[in-house]
Amino acid sequence: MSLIFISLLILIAVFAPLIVKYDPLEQNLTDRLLPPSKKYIFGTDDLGRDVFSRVVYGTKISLSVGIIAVGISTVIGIMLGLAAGFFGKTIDTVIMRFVDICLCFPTFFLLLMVIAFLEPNIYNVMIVIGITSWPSITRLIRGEVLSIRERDFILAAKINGISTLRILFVHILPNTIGPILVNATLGIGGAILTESALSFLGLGVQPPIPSWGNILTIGKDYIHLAWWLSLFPGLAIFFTVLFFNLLGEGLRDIFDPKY
Amino acid sequence: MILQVKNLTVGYYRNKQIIPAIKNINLNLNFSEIISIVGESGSGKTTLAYSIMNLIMPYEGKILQGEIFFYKDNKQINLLSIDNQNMRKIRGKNISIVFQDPFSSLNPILTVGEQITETVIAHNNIPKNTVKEYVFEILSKVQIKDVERIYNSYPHQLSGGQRQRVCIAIAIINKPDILIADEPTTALDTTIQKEILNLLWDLQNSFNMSIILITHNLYLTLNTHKIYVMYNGEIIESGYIKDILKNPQKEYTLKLLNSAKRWII
Amino acid sequence: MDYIIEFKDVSKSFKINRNILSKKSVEINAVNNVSFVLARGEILGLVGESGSGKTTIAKLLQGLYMPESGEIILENKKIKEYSRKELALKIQMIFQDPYTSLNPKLTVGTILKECIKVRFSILKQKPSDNFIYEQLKEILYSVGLNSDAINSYPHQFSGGQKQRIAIARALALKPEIIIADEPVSHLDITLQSQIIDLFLNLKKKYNLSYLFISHDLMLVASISDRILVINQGKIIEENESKLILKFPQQEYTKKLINSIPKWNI
Repeated sequence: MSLIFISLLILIAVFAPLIVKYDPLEQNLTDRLLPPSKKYIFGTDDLGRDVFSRVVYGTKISLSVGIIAVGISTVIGIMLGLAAGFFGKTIDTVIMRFVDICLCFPTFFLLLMVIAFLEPNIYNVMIVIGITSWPSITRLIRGEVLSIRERDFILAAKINGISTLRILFVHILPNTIGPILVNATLGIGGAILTESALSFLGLGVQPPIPSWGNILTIGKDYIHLAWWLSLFPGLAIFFTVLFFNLLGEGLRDIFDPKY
Repeated sequence: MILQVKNLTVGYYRNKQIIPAIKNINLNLNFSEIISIVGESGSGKTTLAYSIMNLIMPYEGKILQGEIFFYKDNKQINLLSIDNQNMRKIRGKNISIVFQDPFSSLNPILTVGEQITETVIAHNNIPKNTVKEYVFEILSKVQIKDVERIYNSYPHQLSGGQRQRVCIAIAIINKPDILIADEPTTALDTTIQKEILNLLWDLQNSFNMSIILITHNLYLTLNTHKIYVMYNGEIIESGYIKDILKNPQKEYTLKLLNSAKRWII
Repeated sequence: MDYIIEFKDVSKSFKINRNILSKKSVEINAVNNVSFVLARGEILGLVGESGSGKTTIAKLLQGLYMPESGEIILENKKIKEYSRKELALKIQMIFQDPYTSLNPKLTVGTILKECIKVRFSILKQKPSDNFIYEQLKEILYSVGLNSDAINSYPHQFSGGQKQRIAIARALALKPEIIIADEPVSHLDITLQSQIIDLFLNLKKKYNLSYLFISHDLMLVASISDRILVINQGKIIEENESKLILKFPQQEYTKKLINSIPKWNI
């Protein structure tokens, strides 16, 4: 079921321009802060922009950040995890000590510091989230590799004269896909939350580009007057993260069935 | 007669359907008798053993039809219809099982002594301090030398043969009426196969137990009284071992015989 | 005689930590001054219990371990002078457990094609896709499987078929020597003789030499020309198969023969 919701989300993000009636950037100062109505389904914000359009366009932002950030950290994690797990000894020690050090930093503060130095925009947000979440994936993959590399078919591959690179990517990696996929899916939910938080604080996607987080920023100032500015983006974040988490759990059940 | 399986059909869940694993099984076991069930992997032998012990989990499979009667003290008990509590009393005390892989049947974090004691206390009201003597006795009965050391050892410190002896000790310590041995020597080297089998026959003699031996190797059924040949979930031939060896009725039985012939020196 | 393999006084030991917390390690002599030869076209059997050093010898021969002392000579050249790839074209191995020796994520076709291509790349040849496909089919047929297997995954096959696939994989590299480490221990007895027959056919067809390792003396005797008996890392007896069964010299060998139950029809 989560798959259906998420496919819907993806469709919304891709076809956003076709769904919405109004340009999300178009300001209509005469229609400021209107509650939800037939004309404006989710109401309007303080600059008269249609909240529905902004939430829909925000989907694109959130999904891209989520997927790309997780993509970056997963790729880094795979490279380092495979190397640490397969080659062991020095390489393993070096990588894992580095992972340990990175895990000591409180992630969110690190994010804030980095963003404070860089220009806050969507690309930097993606990169920053990506490079702060690779340590745990690395550890996960390394663990999987350690258990797989002792199996007979890996030994057989070595005996068959197959090159190390091929053993890593054709034999070991596909057997670790299960946990990687689960971790990635759950990670997307987390990345979306982080992006929303950053945007909410003004450090992520900047207005006028709509992001669920920055709609909430406006919403917090008008929370008594215009509840719709907080509710709808809030619900969007909630349901998206929920369904990504459910998807992740569902995938985990498929790959790791326990009675 | 001590055990009677009547028209038993058991199925497993596969993709929301129930696929029968064993069909219309009829089997009799008498007091102090040894029977064997012979067949290849997948023929349903283990399913049959598990059904007798009522170990088929409700999420795995279901008894589709049939009855299993256990006779004790002139009473007839249908093992498939009694409640869980009563079955637990019977399992381990009246009917016991030794599994194929001695390594995974033992808890790796408990010593041998602790595991055997656990079984004794579960079924008897003996005070804890007298159990140790009893356990020592049973360990020497299963031909373990250096009983004290083994009592204090963990499973991974023992050899395969020793582990299997411990499993047998756990299975017989409560002097069961019936012992099911599911491929007891398959995971062990052939060098100790004979020892373990001889042990089982000795125990059968001293305790007057009935034994059901399950195996894929016809050659190991030499000392048993009756054989049931299983193929594809059904019993295709049964009879006394001498008759079957001289005159196998079915082609499959002949195939089993021929596979075992390399042991004839 | 043309010796393809010579083990000269090979020793190999391992350090095992007593337990997780202790720094003290015990040195175990897995292989102790072992010497033997394998002639071209011969089937040499290696018999011993679990832990006797058989698998260590297999891994030493396959170049996975280096001997601490002594030399291993393959076709008049020391094993350590061969690169991993050169060795792959000379010696291949078949493992004990067919369930874990095949990559579950790859199709049978992919597994076998990979090995066929590796061989061509080591020989610096570039065959056409068609040629590779023909080779693939030929290998499958020679182990008794057909081209339906190409797009199937290992889990779709039975244990016996999986072992055939493992044999096909070894053959794909067209080695001269095949090490079979307990190749039928995990299979039912009805399948064992089929796989043994397959080994004999392949030997004739491809001119192979075998090192056949098992704990089952009768099994080894049914296929081998000569037998080595190993106990605790040392070769204690060596003789032709027929002679070793009729006239065993050492106590241990006699014990192995006596552990086989006698068949009295």
